[in-house]
Amino acid sequence: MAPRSTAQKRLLKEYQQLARDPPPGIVAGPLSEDDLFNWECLLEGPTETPYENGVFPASLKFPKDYPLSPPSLKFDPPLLHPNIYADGTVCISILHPPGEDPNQYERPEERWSPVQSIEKILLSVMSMLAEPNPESGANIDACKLWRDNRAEYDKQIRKHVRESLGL
Amino acid sequence: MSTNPFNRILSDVTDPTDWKDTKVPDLAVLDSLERCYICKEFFRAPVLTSCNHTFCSQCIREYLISNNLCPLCKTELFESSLKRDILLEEIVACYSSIRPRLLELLKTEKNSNNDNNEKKEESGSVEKANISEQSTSNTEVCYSPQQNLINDSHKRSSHRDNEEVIEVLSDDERERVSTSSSSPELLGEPAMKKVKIESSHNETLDAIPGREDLVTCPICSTSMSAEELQTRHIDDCLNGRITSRSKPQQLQKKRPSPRAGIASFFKKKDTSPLGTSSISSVSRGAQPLGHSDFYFKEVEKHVTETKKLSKLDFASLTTPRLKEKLAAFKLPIQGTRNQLELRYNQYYVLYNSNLDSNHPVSDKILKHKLNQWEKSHSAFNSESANLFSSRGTISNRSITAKNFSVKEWLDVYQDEFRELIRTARASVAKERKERKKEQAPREEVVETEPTVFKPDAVSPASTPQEIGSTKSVDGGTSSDLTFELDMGSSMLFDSNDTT
Repeated sequence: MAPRSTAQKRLLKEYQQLARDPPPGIVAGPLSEDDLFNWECLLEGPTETPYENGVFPASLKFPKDYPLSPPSLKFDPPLLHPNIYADGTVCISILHPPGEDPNQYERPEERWSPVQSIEKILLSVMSMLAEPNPESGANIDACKLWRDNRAEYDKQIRKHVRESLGL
Repeated sequence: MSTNPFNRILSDVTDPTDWKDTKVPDLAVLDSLERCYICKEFFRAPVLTSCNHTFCSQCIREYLISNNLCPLCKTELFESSLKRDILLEEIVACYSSIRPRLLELLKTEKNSNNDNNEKKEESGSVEKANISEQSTSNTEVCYSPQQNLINDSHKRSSHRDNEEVIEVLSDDERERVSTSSSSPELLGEPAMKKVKIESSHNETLDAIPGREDLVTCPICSTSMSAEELQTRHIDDCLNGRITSRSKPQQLQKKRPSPRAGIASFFKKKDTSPLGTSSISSVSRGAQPLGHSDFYFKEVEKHVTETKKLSKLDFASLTTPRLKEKLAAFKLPIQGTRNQLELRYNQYYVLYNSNLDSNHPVSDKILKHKLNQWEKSHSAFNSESANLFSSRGTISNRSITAKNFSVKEWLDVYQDEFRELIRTARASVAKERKERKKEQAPREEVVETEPTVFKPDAVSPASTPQEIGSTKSVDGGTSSDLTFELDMGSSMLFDSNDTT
């Protein structure tokens, strides 16, 4: 085995830390020890939101130059949420590299930087689930539903949660 | 814990949570403060930014190649303003060298029948117990010391899996006991003698396990004895002959050194008041200086000589000139233009950060590190090094990136775009034929109707309508897929205009 790259070493450390001291509602780890760049995680739906009681699987993909570049996070199966694309990819400022922002609504301090961590990403995603940001919507239908018909939005999500739990 | 399938590869990973289950869990704070925010390792050649934040020289320099903000506070940052932090580097080196011993000592024992703990906390009662225990067998000590020692050392080392510790202990004891048995006046109180041995023995236990004299290979970061590193490992590692880092190998590597460990222990006690000096004299070999010695005495080495490499302005540099530059540093000159640039930048980072280190490594090692970096970097992967190199790099770049080249993207995906156009045209032709059959007189309308480019053969997402809607929502990160379709269809329409 070749000596580990900076990215691999850092991923291992983050994994060790997450395994020993897991934040509530979050489980994450590499799929296999041969490939530390693909992770799977399970996120618990935040309480007092329609996502409550749900457990949502997502995949994290890391670039080879991690932590200089951010990973990408994709819910699989996709989740209905204003900030999640229809294919499940999460659109959240912490996952966006710094640099110019075409829409100018994300401050640089909210963006990815190597001092961020997997734990911080997942915690941000949890709070994103609780509080969608309709200003930078990724799923226009979910945005509309969330804004105009909250009852239906909540209903659809609860249905998804029940189905995902096999109820 | 034992169920964790990653235990094997996590075994040599250290992080602040190691302190969680010790007697002083707050050491986790100290541990995390001595780590770089970027790589999460202990600081290597730490540097201070103009905004007073500390990073490994290499980490922050790599980051600053493509950014100009502090990763922590986002204030503007220039590479030239980085200052090396000599004291911190020595503090971290000192801490990380005593860390394994500290961990061992402060571990909260789950099975507390361990000598180590009892001795520390209630040494009085244990000593008494030992005296009574030993006095019953004191004749044995005198007449067959060897036999007794073997039992004893087995007992003592039952909680250690390190065989050489046993050997060393029995050597050590044999010596002491043989002196005691050879001096007749001591025969009257062998039990007391035994206790003395035990207490010294206890200290020895803490010092021996060959841990504190382990050093880290600058190339592969494997821990081993300094002797092993210097005599064999470093050459093997430079030549890439070390392939596996399995546990048994590491154990074997420890084997030649227990005596050195003992020697350093006694030397330290006798000669040096500085706790770490003998450690580093063993580990650094060529540099027999403690961390404090380096900081207080080697002051002339602290002045940074400004012979750092300069950043190249690639835009105004032709490829042959760039190759000349690389050749001047005896770096490889093969590869694509992109690879040459990446190679120079990485060497530049490695070289300059090495100058920030209190203990710089040789150029040979830097080049080896460069080589390993290339191996792990996606732009140098074998599949991207061949025909598809441009494709490999462009698909890794974000389409929102500053250096994203639309033309390059078009070149790379030209064939796929053509194929899309071809299928679109085919289905248009087909549709046209069908319509002709149905309503022959309305031929022209079909030709001008834009909806004819909504055929099923093309991916349904590429209809003009949907492209519009995805564009409007995709904010900072439109997915590659969206973009590809976008490009594809715009090209489709363009080529339609020209035909």
